Amino acid sequence: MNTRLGNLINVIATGFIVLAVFSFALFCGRLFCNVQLMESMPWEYKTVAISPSGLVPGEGPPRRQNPPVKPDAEAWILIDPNTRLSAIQSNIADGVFKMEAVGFVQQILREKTEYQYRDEKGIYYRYADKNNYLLFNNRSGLFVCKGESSTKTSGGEQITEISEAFAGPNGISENASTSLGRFEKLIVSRFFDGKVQPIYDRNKRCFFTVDFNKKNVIKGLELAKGDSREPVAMGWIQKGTVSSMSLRWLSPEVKDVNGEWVSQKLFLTDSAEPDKGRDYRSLLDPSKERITVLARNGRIYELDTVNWSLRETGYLPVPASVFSSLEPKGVAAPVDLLAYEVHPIYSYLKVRKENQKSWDAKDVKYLGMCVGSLSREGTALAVVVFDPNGKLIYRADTQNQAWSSAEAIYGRGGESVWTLGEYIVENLHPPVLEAASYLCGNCFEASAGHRALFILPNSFLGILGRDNDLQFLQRQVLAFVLMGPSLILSFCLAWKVRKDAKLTGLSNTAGKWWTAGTIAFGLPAYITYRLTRHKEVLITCQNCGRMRRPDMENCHHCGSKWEMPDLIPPNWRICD
Amino acid sequence: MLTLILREIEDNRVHFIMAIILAVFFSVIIGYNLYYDQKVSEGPVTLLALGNGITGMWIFCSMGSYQMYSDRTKKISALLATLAVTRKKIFIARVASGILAVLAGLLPAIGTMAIAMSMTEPETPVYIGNVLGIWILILLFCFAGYCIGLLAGWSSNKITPTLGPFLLTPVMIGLIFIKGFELDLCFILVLLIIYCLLCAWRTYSTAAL
Repeated sequence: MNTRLGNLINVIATGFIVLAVFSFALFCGRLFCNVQLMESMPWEYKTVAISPSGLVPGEGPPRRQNPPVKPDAEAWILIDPNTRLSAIQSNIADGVFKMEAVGFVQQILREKTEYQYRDEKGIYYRYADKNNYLLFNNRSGLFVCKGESSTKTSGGEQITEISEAFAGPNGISENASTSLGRFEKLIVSRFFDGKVQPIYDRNKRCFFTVDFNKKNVIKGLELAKGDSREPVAMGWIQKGTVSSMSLRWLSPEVKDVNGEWVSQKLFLTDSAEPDKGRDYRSLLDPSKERITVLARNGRIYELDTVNWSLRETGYLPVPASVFSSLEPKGVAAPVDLLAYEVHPIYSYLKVRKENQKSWDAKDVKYLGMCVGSLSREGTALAVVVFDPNGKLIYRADTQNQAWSSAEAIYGRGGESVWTLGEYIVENLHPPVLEAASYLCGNCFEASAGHRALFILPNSFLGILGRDNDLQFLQRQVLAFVLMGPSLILSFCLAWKVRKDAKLTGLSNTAGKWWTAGTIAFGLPAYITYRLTRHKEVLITCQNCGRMRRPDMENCHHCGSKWEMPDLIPPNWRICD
Repeated sequence: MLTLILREIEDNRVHFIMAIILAVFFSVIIGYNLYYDQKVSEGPVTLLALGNGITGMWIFCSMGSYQMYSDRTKKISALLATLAVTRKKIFIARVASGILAVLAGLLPAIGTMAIAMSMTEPETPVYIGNVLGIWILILLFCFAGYCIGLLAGWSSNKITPTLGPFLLTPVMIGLIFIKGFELDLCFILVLLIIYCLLCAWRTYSTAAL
């Protein structure tokens, strides 16, 4: 290996290790500051309670509760001692930063929430035991529904049979056959009844309903290529775990004869049976005919599986950030949010089936929807309410007085030392990585930003880079101001490196590269330089008097060679 | 080459014995857990693999550090060089012995897990790809620890070979907790291994014996 290549490898390798260790230390510093900030933020900034919710006819328009409701308290408003109105309650979890930072725990939690289980055969959307499951087989591209059914013989003996059915786009059969076709790249409606499964095939761009009860597959709406309504989730729309945020819709309640609170029945005049009280249900349509669909652009639709139509019913709101206005406009894309939940609300008539053991839902009415979204940084929550026609009727953000929670976390907790600490830690990062965070921080999925080591989407610069409220010039100036300490530090270190490089006799080219590298990479580059620089002891040049390297033929300051005294033979000789 | 490798194994027999003890210990735990409890789930599998990897990493890191430090202080390479053995062969033999130690420390546990999983009915479906991915990451993790030891060991002072690896290993353990068992961590570990080996080779090949 020649010296130059060897030196280059040494410098790059040392630099990589130094950067990795340094970034890890800064990550720990940032996480510590963030956790302290979140814990010291007053609870009033972390909750949203709306009562009445505005989704129950006759209750009046939605109203935010003031004073705020504690996260562990109930959000209902009592209109009299025996009646309480419907409510929406949402809050940011205290442990949001801690949980999001631990990647391998998130990995396990995510696998449990996105689908039930997985093995070599495929993905199980329902699994009770080895004879009772709904599986999508990756290899065959078919749905497999296996279940046990019991029948009584004429002699009264009970026989259990295990049946298996395979479903493809072309139909259902008891044998896996290529004539059934293949499903590929599916989006499956979460937590639906396993026997009737609405799905979306991304390759075919088509909705299907797979019905194992009626043994048929219905091909539904087909979307054109590039249609903005292409779904990313169906059914129960939720991202994130309880460690990030929670959203609940609470139905109106009354006290029964025993003094227990029970759900208050709803009487609708436009119903076929106006004198019959209706129950409420959130998340999933009781009739299973309508499914909530979330599109890639953040808009929410209702898919009617009877006449196969998509109707817009709402969208994911953009939460506030530390630089934006209190209630930013616009629609948030799912990848830009750390967590979200969608709760469509339905009312229905409960009708007992003939067997008296189960019930059917009749005359289902859609009452509207509440949606909660948590910002990428995990510091602001926005809750919106939509009426049955998809019109926004109310919005509430986590805030108190004029401060949004995104601003309050850095300024209102009384712990500005942690804000300063986080700012200092962010400014110790290499300027080139800070600039990358500003320019492309929104290229990363929201949750991944909490585990970033090098490019920091959730730093102040990253948040500024995503902000659309500020004007372009304003944003650039503010970015330079935020990066100021980091740039000053880099320039100081680069000056030190340049001075040392001249002193130690580094070539001009090498000196320039080191200077440029130190300006770009800051403190890690300086540490790398100190670890990899030549360690020879310098000696005084007899010509210019400055320190020179003993391993070089010429002095790197004045160019003089080594002065070697002439060899003078002695006057004496050795004789026998 | 085989002689050199056997020599390295003999010189580092303490580390090999520790790796085998580690392997037996975790194999017994894995076997007992999976066979007698009659259930398999990814949570305990992940934690056991992580425990095996973290403990193993300390052992392999100290092995790499010891190999280089003892070479420098006892002039082993200087002696071998007189027997017409090149530095390249010595270094390759050293790395090969490191790989063997890592495999000796982890393969028995992997094998035990594979056998136990094939003998028991899982309570819930388990994706073998995930389990394999975790073990591949742990293997890379342990080998990266060994390479860090090689890099830190060639130092004249006693502190760097002793404390250097022990300061770097918590960083690597922290990386697993932060990043999880994802592909980008594999990429970081592979880069780290390449850099450490190249750096260690450069230092070793240019040092005066």
